[in-house]
Amino acid sequence: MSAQPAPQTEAHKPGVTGTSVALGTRGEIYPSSPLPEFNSAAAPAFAARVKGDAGSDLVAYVCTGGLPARFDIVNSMRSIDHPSVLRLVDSGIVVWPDGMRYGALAYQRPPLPRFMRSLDDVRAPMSEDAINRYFVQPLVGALVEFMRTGVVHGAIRSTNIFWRAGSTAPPQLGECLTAPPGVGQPALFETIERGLCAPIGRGAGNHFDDCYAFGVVVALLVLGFNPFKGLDDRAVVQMKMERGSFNALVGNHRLTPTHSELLRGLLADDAHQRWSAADLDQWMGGRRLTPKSSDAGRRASRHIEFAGQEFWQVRPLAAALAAHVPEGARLIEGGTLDKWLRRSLGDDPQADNVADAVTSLKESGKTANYEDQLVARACIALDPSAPIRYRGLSLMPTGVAGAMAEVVAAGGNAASLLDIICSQLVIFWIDMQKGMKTELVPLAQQFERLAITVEKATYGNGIERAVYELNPSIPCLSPMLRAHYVTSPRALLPALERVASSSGRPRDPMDRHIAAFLIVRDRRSEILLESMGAPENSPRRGLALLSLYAEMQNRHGPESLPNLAQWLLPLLEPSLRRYFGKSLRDGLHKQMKEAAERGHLGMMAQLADNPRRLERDEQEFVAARLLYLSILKEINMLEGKMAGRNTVVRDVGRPLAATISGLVALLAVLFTVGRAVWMSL
Amino acid sequence: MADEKKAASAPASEAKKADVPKKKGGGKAWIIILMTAFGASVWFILPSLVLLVGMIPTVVELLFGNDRKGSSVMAIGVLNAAGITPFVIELWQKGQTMENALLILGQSTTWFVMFGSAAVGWLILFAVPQAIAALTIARADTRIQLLKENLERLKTTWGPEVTTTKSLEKIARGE
Repeated sequence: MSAQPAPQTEAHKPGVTGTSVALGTRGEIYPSSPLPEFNSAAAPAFAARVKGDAGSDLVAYVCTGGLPARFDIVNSMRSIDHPSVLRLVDSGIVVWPDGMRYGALAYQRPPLPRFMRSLDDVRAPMSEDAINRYFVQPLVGALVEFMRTGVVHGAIRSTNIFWRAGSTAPPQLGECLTAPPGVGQPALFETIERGLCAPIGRGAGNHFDDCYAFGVVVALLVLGFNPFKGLDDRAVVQMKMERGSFNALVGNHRLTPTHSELLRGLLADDAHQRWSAADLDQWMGGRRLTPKSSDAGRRASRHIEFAGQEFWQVRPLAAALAAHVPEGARLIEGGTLDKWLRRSLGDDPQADNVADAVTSLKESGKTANYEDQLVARACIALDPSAPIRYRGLSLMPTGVAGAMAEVVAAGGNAASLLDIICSQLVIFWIDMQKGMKTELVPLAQQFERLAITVEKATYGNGIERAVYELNPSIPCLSPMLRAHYVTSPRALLPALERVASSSGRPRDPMDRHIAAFLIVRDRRSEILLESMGAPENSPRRGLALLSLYAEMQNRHGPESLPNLAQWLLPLLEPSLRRYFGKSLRDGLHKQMKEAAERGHLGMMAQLADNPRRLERDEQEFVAARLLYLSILKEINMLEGKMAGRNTVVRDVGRPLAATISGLVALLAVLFTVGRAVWMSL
Repeated sequence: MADEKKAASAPASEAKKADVPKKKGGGKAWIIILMTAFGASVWFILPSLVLLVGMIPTVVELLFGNDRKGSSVMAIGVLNAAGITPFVIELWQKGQTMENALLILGQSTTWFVMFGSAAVGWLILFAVPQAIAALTIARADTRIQLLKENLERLKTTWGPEVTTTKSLEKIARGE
């Protein structure tokens, strides 16, 4: 993905108006031609075209909602070529007319309208054959493609399918990349576990979740109406928990044996029993499978009363415990829950799990938010496949990523999310899962690492690091880069260059978000960025920043970054102060300014940090200091001499006078004697 | 033992103290004696009279001068002696009689030459040290000016920090 400059071409093609903005290498979007009928849960839709192809008809989704778009699976999505999947034509970053940069995705515009505009739409039931041939069969093909590529759609719902009943054209699944999986999904289309989560915390999901959603879509089509009409998400999930998904949806309505079998297979609440696309394919081929009849949870012989309600099953009880933490903590610690599990439910292993959860928490010695921790662990032990429920949050382990991204992007309080990581609730959740857990091992390892990372206060660690570790495609959330949608290290320097040229830029072209972003995405050394925590007058700070950006400029370009260089100049002042030679320093200042004007960070780094020159300068400075002292000493000595004139007269003048007198006397005597001798001859 | 040592060392130190002025006076007396002995030697009995009279300025300097090193006595004395030399030779040539000695001493020229030469000694003794002092001070002043210029040059090259004794780290930190 790379940001393209906004083209200024006026386009007057049929169906579109106004100027276009470039998308990726092929697309162009028309911001003044919105297509509200195609809007997705997290992104508005606009008309788009393939560059130079007036006949092309695309719909572009511009991710203005701030949710992390799924650019990490764009390539997989592009590899899917199936008539029941919207074809992704191009993706990238667009420069929107408001000056902001957004991620955008362009799809081939679906020829048919949305199958349902509202879940409450009522339509005449269709024949079994028509449903199977024109609706189920093509979409099974699409699900097979998703399974093949490993892509989780995460947005399969009746309102995100483009189809018209009676049409021979295949139905098409709508877009799914503008938000994390499950974000726009009503709880109706989610499994019980995911339905219990906040939409942003549903996590990546898996292929079986898509199959479940497909089952609900088929159920609504077969029934012709929404059996949960008028119920909110909580009530829908509650009903599913009490009766099982299939029973809650189909109820007493009569289905053909074929559809009954299909829906039982797709709506199985036990993910291990649920049909996959492969099973669906076999079923389409005529092979009959025998799904289990009911998924309603095991019932106790006697109910347990909690929060004014009677509970016969574990799953609804766990949900109630999470909603009433203080009472739940009393129920757990008072032993009532243990007794009920052992005596009325007869489930000793589950009772042991709860007891272990309580014991492990007590042994860990953690006292902060004890009741919340206790209830969260007990809920996981009671209903292992349900989300982690902690202090009002309800998240699947993979949903921590999205929740954290949302909270951090909104500048909210992420303390509870950090608690989940630090208290290793995710690890506990994974430990509690039944069956093979090999696919969860990388997740456990990641959260073990994060538990250490988020507690570090150094630059590049903490919650910011967690955000980028958990969300591989999220743009840098640094406040200074919000408008620039920086998704890769390559895009960072050009974005900083733009920030540098704007007014009101911050003091440093670096903050904790950028540091964490570079550590995670560019595999940068933490040590280098730790220098950013040094005091403001420390030379390490500016030098670390300069060497980091210089190296990035060398690797990714662009060749000239004059504004960023000017931004960095004041930060390099402490590093220049290490040179003692004033003239050398002045010279370096001048050269640095010239290098900054040329926007060459590498040259600036060479000037600011030359160990040999530094060493020589230091030695010369020490010598200059010694010379200064020696000159002062000599001046003092001379001034003393000037003050002691009499001493000079006495010690030097008089002996010299005596010597001169002696010489004159000697000459006089020699003359006299010579004269006398001469005269006597 | 200590008391005894003190008692023993006390007279010794007193004697030393007493020796110092004796040595000073003794030195001058020793020179007078030597000069007299020189004048009164067998061969120069009468010339020594001339010598003794002619050397009066030197004797005066010797007795009343404050130059401990004897440079002033030397400066006056050697020229004073050089001023006497012609008359001693004249006495030798005319014959060493008391009459000739008195005749020589009776001439004003004799006194003028003898005392004039001493005066030249005085003049040298006055002028040369002053000139030397003035020259020395002038040279020192010039040197000081040069050194001060060097100090300024050092300050210009290295900044005011070169005049301090601050640690290099503190200077680098701008403290």
